[in-house]
This record gives sequence, C-alpha cells and structure tokens, in this order.
Amino acid sequence: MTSSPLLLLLLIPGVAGLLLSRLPEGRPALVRSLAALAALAQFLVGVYCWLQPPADLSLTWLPRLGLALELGLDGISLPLVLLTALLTAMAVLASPADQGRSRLYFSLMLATNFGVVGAFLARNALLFVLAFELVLIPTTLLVAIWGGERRAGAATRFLLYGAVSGLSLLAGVLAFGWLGQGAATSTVSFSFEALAATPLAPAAQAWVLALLLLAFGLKLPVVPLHGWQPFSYSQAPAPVVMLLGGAVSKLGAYGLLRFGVGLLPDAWTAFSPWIAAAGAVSAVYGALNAVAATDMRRLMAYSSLGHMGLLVLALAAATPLSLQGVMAQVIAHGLIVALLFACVELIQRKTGTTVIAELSGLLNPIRGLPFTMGLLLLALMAAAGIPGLAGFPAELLVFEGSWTVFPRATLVCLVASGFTAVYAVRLFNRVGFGRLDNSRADWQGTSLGERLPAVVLTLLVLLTGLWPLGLTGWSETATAALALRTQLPV
Amino acid sequence: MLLRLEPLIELSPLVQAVLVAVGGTTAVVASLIALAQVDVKRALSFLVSSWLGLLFVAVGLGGTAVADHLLLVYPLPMALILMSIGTIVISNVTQDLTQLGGLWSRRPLMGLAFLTGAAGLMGLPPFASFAALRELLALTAASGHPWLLGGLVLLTNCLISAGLIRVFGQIWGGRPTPFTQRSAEVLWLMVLPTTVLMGMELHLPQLLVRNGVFSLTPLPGWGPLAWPLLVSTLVGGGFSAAFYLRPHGLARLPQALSGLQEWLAHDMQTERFYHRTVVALVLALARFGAWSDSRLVDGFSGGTGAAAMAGARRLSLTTSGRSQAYALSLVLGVLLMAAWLLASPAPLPLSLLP
Amino acid sequence: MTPIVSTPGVRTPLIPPSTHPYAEVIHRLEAGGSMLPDTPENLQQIIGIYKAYAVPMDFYWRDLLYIAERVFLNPLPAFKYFISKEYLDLPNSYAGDQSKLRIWRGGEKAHPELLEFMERGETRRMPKLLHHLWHDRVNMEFAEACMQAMFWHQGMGGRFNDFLESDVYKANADRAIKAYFKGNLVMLGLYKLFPDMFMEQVKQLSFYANLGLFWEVMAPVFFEMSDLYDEGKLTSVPEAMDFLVNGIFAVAGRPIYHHVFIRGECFEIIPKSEGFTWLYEAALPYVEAVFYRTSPFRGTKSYNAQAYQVPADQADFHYGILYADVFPVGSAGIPPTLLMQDMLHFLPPYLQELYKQHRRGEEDQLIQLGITFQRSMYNVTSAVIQALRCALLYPLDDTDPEHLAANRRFFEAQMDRFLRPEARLPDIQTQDYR
Repeated sequence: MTSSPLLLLLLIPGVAGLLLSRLPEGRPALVRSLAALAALAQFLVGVYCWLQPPADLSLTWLPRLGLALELGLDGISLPLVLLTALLTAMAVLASPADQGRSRLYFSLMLATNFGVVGAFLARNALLFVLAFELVLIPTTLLVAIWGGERRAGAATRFLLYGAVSGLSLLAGVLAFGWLGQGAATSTVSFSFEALAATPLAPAAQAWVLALLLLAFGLKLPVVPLHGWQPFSYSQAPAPVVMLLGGAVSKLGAYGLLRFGVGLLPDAWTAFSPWIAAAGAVSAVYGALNAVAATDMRRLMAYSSLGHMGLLVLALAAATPLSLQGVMAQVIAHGLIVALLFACVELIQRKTGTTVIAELSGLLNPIRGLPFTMGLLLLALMAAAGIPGLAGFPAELLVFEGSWTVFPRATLVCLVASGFTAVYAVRLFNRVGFGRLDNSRADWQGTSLGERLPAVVLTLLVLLTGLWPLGLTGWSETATAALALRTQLPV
Repeated sequence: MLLRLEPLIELSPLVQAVLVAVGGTTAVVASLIALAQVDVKRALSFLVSSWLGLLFVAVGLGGTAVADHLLLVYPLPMALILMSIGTIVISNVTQDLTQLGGLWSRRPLMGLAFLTGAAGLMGLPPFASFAALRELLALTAASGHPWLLGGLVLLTNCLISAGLIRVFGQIWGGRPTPFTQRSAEVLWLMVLPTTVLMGMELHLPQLLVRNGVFSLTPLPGWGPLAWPLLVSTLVGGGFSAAFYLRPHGLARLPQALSGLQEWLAHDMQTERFYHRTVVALVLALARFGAWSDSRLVDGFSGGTGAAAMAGARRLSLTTSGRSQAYALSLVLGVLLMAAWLLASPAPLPLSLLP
Repeated sequence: MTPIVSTPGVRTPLIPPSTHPYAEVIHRLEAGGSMLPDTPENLQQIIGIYKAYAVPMDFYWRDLLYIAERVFLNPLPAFKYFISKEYLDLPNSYAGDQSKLRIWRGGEKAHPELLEFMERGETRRMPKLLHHLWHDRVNMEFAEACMQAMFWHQGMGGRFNDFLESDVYKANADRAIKAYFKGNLVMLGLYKLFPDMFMEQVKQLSFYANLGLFWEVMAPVFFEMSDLYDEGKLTSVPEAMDFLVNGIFAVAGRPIYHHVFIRGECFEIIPKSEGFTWLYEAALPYVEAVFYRTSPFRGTKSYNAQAYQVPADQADFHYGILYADVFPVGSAGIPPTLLMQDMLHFLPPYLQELYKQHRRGEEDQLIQLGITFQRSMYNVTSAVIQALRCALLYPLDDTDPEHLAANRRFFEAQMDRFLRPEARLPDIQTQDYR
C-alpha cells in the first residue's frame, strides 16, 4: 500500500509503547534508548513522507457512527508530525537515565505521541476527537505519578480542564456533523471532505465554533482558560513539559486552523475581533506574569502562554502571511519551549531547584553550569524574538500578517513581545550572573549525553532562525489556501 | 548611522529641530555632569556624550561635512586620554579623583599624554578639534538662531575644556595623597603605545591638512569665529587650572552647592526617575497580573477542582460496595434505555438501531 | 605549667574564657595552636601546597633580584623574565653548604623541578621566547603584583618606606642612575627634566629587592617542611606552625639591602649598614600588604568611585588571600589564579589524589588548591602572630594572669581583623570548604 507510511507513523509508537512493557525490569537506560529509537524511527518515516508524499488512507471502521480511519498528511500536518516525533525523541533523551518506573513512563510518553500524531494525521473529525481525548490519559498519568510535590492537585486540574475541553470538542464536532448533514442523509460522515461540503447556517456555525473555541482555547491555552497550565508546567517533570508545551498544546492551534479557519470561515470571520482581542490579552497577561514569576518553570509557562497569544492573533487575522506566521510560530515555539524546558531539566537535576531566588552564578566556568546556561541564553533570546533565532521570523510574520487587519491588537502584542525581553534578561541576570555559592555548588558538570537534546534543539533553533524557510516552507501553499482575508487593508 | 540618515532627516524640519534641541541639551548638560563627577571614568564618559550632542546639533543643522569632521577628530584624543588614565588607575588602584593628586613630578609622561589628548578635544589651535568646532560654530552662525546655538557651542566647549583640565589638575596637580604616595611608571607595554599614540595625535592636524580636510592658513583650521572659540577654551581651561592645579581653598565646593554637585553627579537622578516611573509601572502591572492569576484563575480552578472532588466523594458515599447492587442497577438501566428507544418516535435516526 | 587546684594533671585556666566571636580560635592560639584546626587532612593539604608554592617561589626570588640588581632601569625591559644563568645558580644564602645558617637541608641552586618546568612547560621543549610568548612559563607577574602591593601601601610599619624619602637614599640612587645611563643623552636629559620619575622607579626596584630577599628565605623553609613531612617527622599543624615560628626567629635579623650591578661595578643604593632587618622590614610588611590588604583586581572589573566601591582608607583594604573569594570573579586581590596555575604544576602526588576524590576531581583542581593555599596562608599568618606575641608579649605558659590577659588582648585584636564578612576564617574551620 502506498499509504502505509501513514500507518507506520502510528504503528511505530503504538507497538513500541506496548513492547516496552515487555522489557526486563530494572534496565531504565535500555528502555530509554529503545523509546528514543522508536521516536527517531517515526521521525525518519515522517521525513520519508515529506520526500515522497503518501496518498491519503481511508479505511472504514464504524460507518454507522460516521467514524472512519481516514489518515492524511498535508502541508499543515506534516511539519507538526515531524515536530512531535522530534520532540518525543528529545523528551525521552532528556529524561534521566535512571528514570523510576521507566517502562511505564516511556510507554506513556509514546502513547502521548501516538495520540498527538493520530490527531494530526486524522482526516475524520470523530477520529480527531478520539485521538484528542486519547492524549489526555497518558499526560495526566505522567503528571500525576512523576510530578513534583503538588502533583496530585496539578494532575486533577489538568484532567478536569482536559475533560471539559474534550467534551466540548465532542459536542462541537457532533453538532457540526448532525446539524450539517443530519437532515439530508441517513448516515452522517465526519470526514473533512464531507464536513467541508455541507456548509452550516450562520447561527449553527456560531454555536459550533463557540464550542470548538472553548475546546481548543483550553488546550492552547488562551486567557482566561489557562488555569491548568502554570500549575501543570511547574509540577510535571520537565521532559514531560517538553512534550506538553511543544506538541500537545499545538493540537489546539491545529484544531483552530483546521476546523475554525478551514471549515467554519463565516463564523470565524465574525468572531475574529474577539479572538484577536483574546490573543492580545493572552500575550500581555503571559508576559506580565512571567515578569512577576519567582520560579523558572512558571516563568516559562507564562512565556508559553504569551506566545500562544501571538499565535491566536495571527489565526484571527487569517491573511496568507499571518497564517504562515501561525505555522512558523507553531514550529518555532515548539522548539523553543522544548529547549527551555530541556535546560530547566538539566538545571534541576544538577542543582535541585528551579526557584530563581535560590540560584545565582551558574555561569561560573569551573563550578557552575556554563554550557547549560549558554544554551539557556540562546533559548531566552529566541523566546524574546532576537533576529537570527527561530522566534524572530515567526513573530515577524505574525505581526506583518495581522497588522493590516487588527492594528491595535497587533500593537498590544508588540508591546508584550517587548516585555519578553524584560523577563528573559531578568531571569538570566539572576540565575547566570552574580556569585556562585561555593558551599552549595557541589554538583558535577553535565555530560555529553545529558546535553544532547538541548544541543540538537539549539541547532534547530539557530538553523531555522537563519533559514526561515525551514519554518514556513512546508506549509505556504496550504495556508495560502486557507486564508480568509487578503493582505491589503480593508 | 545618523549621518547616513541625513538625507532623510533633511526632509522634516520637525525632526531637525528635535535633533538640535536634544543634541544641544545633551551637550551642555552632559558636560555639566562631567564637571560634577568624582569617578574619573565617568567624568570622561560624560564628555563623550557631550561631544555626541554636538554631533547631533551638526546633523540637525544639515552640516554633514561638519558632523563628519567632528566624528573624525574625536576618537584619537579620547583613546589617548583613556589610555593615560588607565595607567594611572592600574598603578594607583582608585578611580576616585578626590583620592588622587600630585602625580606630575613622578608620572610626567602620562601627564603629557593626557594633556595632548585633552588639547585634541578642546578647541585649541593647532590641534585637530579646533577646526571641527570652529566649523560647527560657523554652521550655527549661519542657522536660524545664531546667538542661541553659537552660544551653546561656545558654552559646551568651555565646559568640556574645564572638565578636562579639572581631571588633569585633580590627578597631576595638587598634593600627593596616601593613594598617590607611591606611583611608579607602569609596564612598558602600556607606556610605549600611549607615547606612540601621543605622537600620532600631535601629527593629526598635519595629516588632516594633507588629506584636504582642513586648510592650513595661518593655523590649521583657522577661519571666521576662531577667536571666540579660542577664548571660550582658555576661559574654561583657565578656571579649572586656577582651581585645581594648585590646592586651592575654593576647590572644594561650598556646602550649599554640594547638593547640586550630588544631583549632577548622579546623572540628574534620571536613573531613579526611570525606576520610579517606567520600571515601577511594569512591575506593578506584573504583580497585578500575578495576583489576578493566583486569586482569580487559580481560585476558580481550585474551586471547581475541589467541588468536583467533593462531588465525587459524596457520590462515592452512595455506593454500597456490593456487586449485586451494581449488577441490578446495570440491568435496570439497560432495560429502561431499551424501552425508551423502542417507544420513542423519529427524532433519532433509525439507522442507529442494529 | 599552670598551677593546679584540685587534681594533678588537670589544667585549670587562670583567666575566664574569651567572649570574642572567634573565642574557639583564640583559645586554640593560646594553647599554642594555629588558626587552622589540627587535623591530618589539614596537615597534608598545607604541607603539600607549601611544597607546590616553594618551587615557583624559587624562581620568583631569583628573578626579583635579577630585575632589581641587573635589569634596573632598562626602559624597555622586554626580557626581564629571561633570568640569567648566574641568577639561576645564585646560591641561596640559607640553604646548601655555603650557607651561614645551616639548619635547612636542600640545595643552594634552583630546584630541579623548577628547571625541568622551565625546560618543558606544559607543552614541550621550545625556545625560551616561544615559551614566554605562549605564556607557558612561571607567572612572574604574580610576584610583581605582590611587590606592587608592598610598594603602594603606606602605614605598615618599619623604617624602610621612610628611608626611601631620605637624602642618603636619593644621593645613592642619583649616582646609580647617572652611572646606568652614562653616555645616553636622551635618558640623562629626561632625568634632568623629571628626576622624580626615575627616583620613583628606583624606589620600586628597592622593593623588588626587598621581596626577593624575603622569599629567598621562605623557599628553603617550605622545602624543609615538605621533606620533614615526607619523612614522617612533622605530624601536626601546630608543629608545622612552630617550625615556621622558629624559622622566622632564626632569620629575623637578616639584613635587607639593595645593591645594583652596573657594568661590573656594585652600587649600594641601600647598603647593609643601614640595618634593615628581615622581620620588620620585609616579613611584616609583606604579611600586611599581601595577606591582608593588596588591592581590588582591576583587570576584569571597574570600581565605581561614585558608589565608593574602593575603601577610602588603605588600612581598610581586604583583598588579600585571607579574604579572597577563590572563585575567579574578579573580587580577589592579587589574583590567586596566577599563583594557582603555578602551583598546579608542582603538586605532590598525595595532593593530586586528594583532589581527585572531591568536587569535580581533576576539572576543578585549581579551585581546590586555591582553597588549600588559603588554609596554608592562615597557618603562616598564625605563625607570624605567634612570633609577634613571642617577641612583644609574654610566653603562652606564663603564670601571671595580667600577662595572659595581655596576650589575650593581642590575640583578640588580631582576630578583630577577621570579623568582616569577607574573611575566610570561619570557612577554614570545617573540612567541607573545598
């Protein structure tokens, strides 16, 4: 079958996740290596799919329910699948070599990957919902079992928000299908083509979009639906957050792009001023809270929130340039947040804390963590949008694309982007410079293996910053096709 | 960069006026601040700001050639001054002008180097900057406000000269202090380049004349308005020399003026102002954001989470733990659902039935 | 021994315990100990580092004398570190067969390990110039920085400093300067114009000689201590300190002089007949200037005068090794890093083993040995303090409570200097400080 690569993309993490539990107990390094290999294999299959685009796969499954195994890759989902595979590999490698309960841990990571990739590959809305819901369980378990001190509360909150998000999505998709096709045909098909072919009445579109906005807004997240994010990001283990922030949250962006902009254009255009406002609020709120944060993880969580705000603004504007910015921001932010949390993992593992007040002088060349801090500096600069790194082309496209449609919201987002420099510099100043407390500096340096994920991510951040086509080249035609507005001012 | 943007700036009289205003203010204020400094490096760095203020004025008045010349004559003397100060600081530990003094007899070479550099920055013929400053003066005389702008340039020159001679006097003049009791000439690797640079600085006017930057009659760069410039230099330098070269009673400011000195020395408290306004605003907003997040959002989430858990716990109390009861309720539920499905008419698609 | 009240063999103190924050240290000093606690590991550390310090010190004193006596007023002394064979073979006045005071064994010429290092360095055999340019050599700049500290600080006691202002000195120096620049009209003309500039240079060279003569004595002392430890004859930290005290007293009267050799003729700028002694004119100013004071390192940081970052009083300076933060962030006085790198080349094997077991092993040997060096210098300072107490005050086992109280006041005054937060005295009391 020419479309077997698509199935492979799903089978590899699925089978590997199941096989990992068969491995002998007490060999965490082996489990970790195999999990990384699986993710890497998935990545390579993805690259193959890029070079030889596979045809869509369509297998019937439950026709009565309208659920079919319809998988496909296009310019929008391909980079996301590759990003997910890469980040899974990096997250696995960033986990400690002596990970506790390693078989379960890495299986859950691969299960998360399975769900996310499945969602990206889905060409059927119910399949998408299934995969979306599927992601919730392994991620909650990862937070609940291996998290920090307050992991129970964080996992509960994560689960509740995730459940509401999933329910809302299910309701929205079902409504979309029934309201659009229910009257005309006997069986409802939820495949994207079927949904696209049956437009809804404006009132119905509005309801469906509202439900979908709730669902994806909870996932991204967007203020004021972000209550779960800082808590979970600060309690979950840092490699898990690499996956959460880098891949899982992109489900929200993908969903908004595919369903909102793609399938509900009229309602989207009507709602877009509000969406843009929410994006702007998110951006400023995230940046300001990051300035006030006392813990590195919370700072990075709020930073992520801020960047998602920019993404939402670009989605709201829906011009060809801004949608390119969406894809660029998705990839760039995925890489950057993963890199930030990879560095946090190293710092936490060595020094035992991520509280900013307890750290200083880590740049000390002999007894500090100079290499890690160097990478952290690059990551922070990238988050701040310094040219030459991945964040800059993404933000540039977002602002250029949205400026003509929502000038005031764009201006607010620009100011928020300025604030990112504030907290980035403050963080680095406090943690990197200053005097290293010799009595507490009894950790060893980072080894090559420990540094590997962060180095790989840094190289990618640099590469895409200097060659922005790596961010947008995949999806230019696809996003141009989705655009709702032209670039020229109204 | 400003020079490159000059054609663009010429298009807007407003921008030009702003440049002149900002540049002029910077020039005068920075040189005043330099006079109030106690740290030698700060005293010199404010002179840099002052000089660049003059450059802004030149650009604002449309004199690109003048601005070019100002930029051209400035680096060499400044570097020379800083190198000579560097050798003093490394041998005598402190940068505090009040702790230095009386070094002329033992560090004459560095003193000469400093004087050469200073002469290169003050408007003193035949040194290079005299020509540039005179050209600037001529430019202001031809502008819309000749007295204001010309006076500004003269005042700045006077203050710069005063500032430079003040630094010289406080380091090389006066009496030795405990910190300058012992001051041997430093490593040859520092002294030799400084003296070489001194030689280059002395040759700079000739170099510029040779390259056609300035004319040669009668002194390099002499021309209209040369006399007022020279007088302003001598007045400023002379005052400082009188105060600082010998220990003078008036060299310490009277008590009443020390508040002014403090204010100027702290950069007119701009940093504190900046802290109290911009930084405070951002931090206040950030704190408000954090409060709202922890109270409102976390509160809401925590509240709903707690409510959900409480509800779940309440619900768990209704279970009896007996599997018979569960089985019974399952069967009853299924029977009820089947009955309802069979009995209800069309609303649900019949195709859902097997 | 102190008179007993009840049981024989039990000592009851004659004066009540001290209430100083460093009471424990003071009591240890009063019992004849050192500021450094007496543990086997401390002893191992300090003896090892004394040996590692003594080898470069052998170069320092020889080159310092070379510069003071031969290089003299050379205006472009590019080769002042290229010591002549004569000075490398200069017999140490306190070691070897020709020495007047034969209490320390050890050879009179340069130490063989030093010669080997000068030959190969860290890299390989190369012409000396290449070694010099590649900076693969002994860091003589450290010795010059120590000298500059002694030169610059005022008010440290002794007559040497004031003698440099006297007419006798000026006359001697004048003769030497004129002889050195004989036939050089430019330099003589410059001397006519700016006599003080040249005079100041000669004063600095006198301090070169001072420091060179000081370290000439310390090197054999440290070598002897290392040999005794290797033979098992030095078994505790107080014993090491006592050895230093005895050494100080043995050499206390050594004359400090400055002779210059210009074209074969000897010019006595500071003749021996002036009667400057080693203890008062070299050792005590050295300890004060280098251990306590020195100066904030201006190579990596600029000290804002507006913020009063440099103390206004020289006596307040606290940048010496006793206060140094060994991490290289530019807050130490004489940067220990230069000396630390020198010592790294000559560590005895037992110290290398010790460092491999702690912190980052071989990677941060420099920091570990820097801290060891700090401990050892506290020991030396204790020796100086005990020596002063012995010279100026009363014996430790004196029976008069008044005398003991005077001793205590002296110790407390010395400990007062370590009350400031930068002092490392509390840190060296534990073994964890690495």
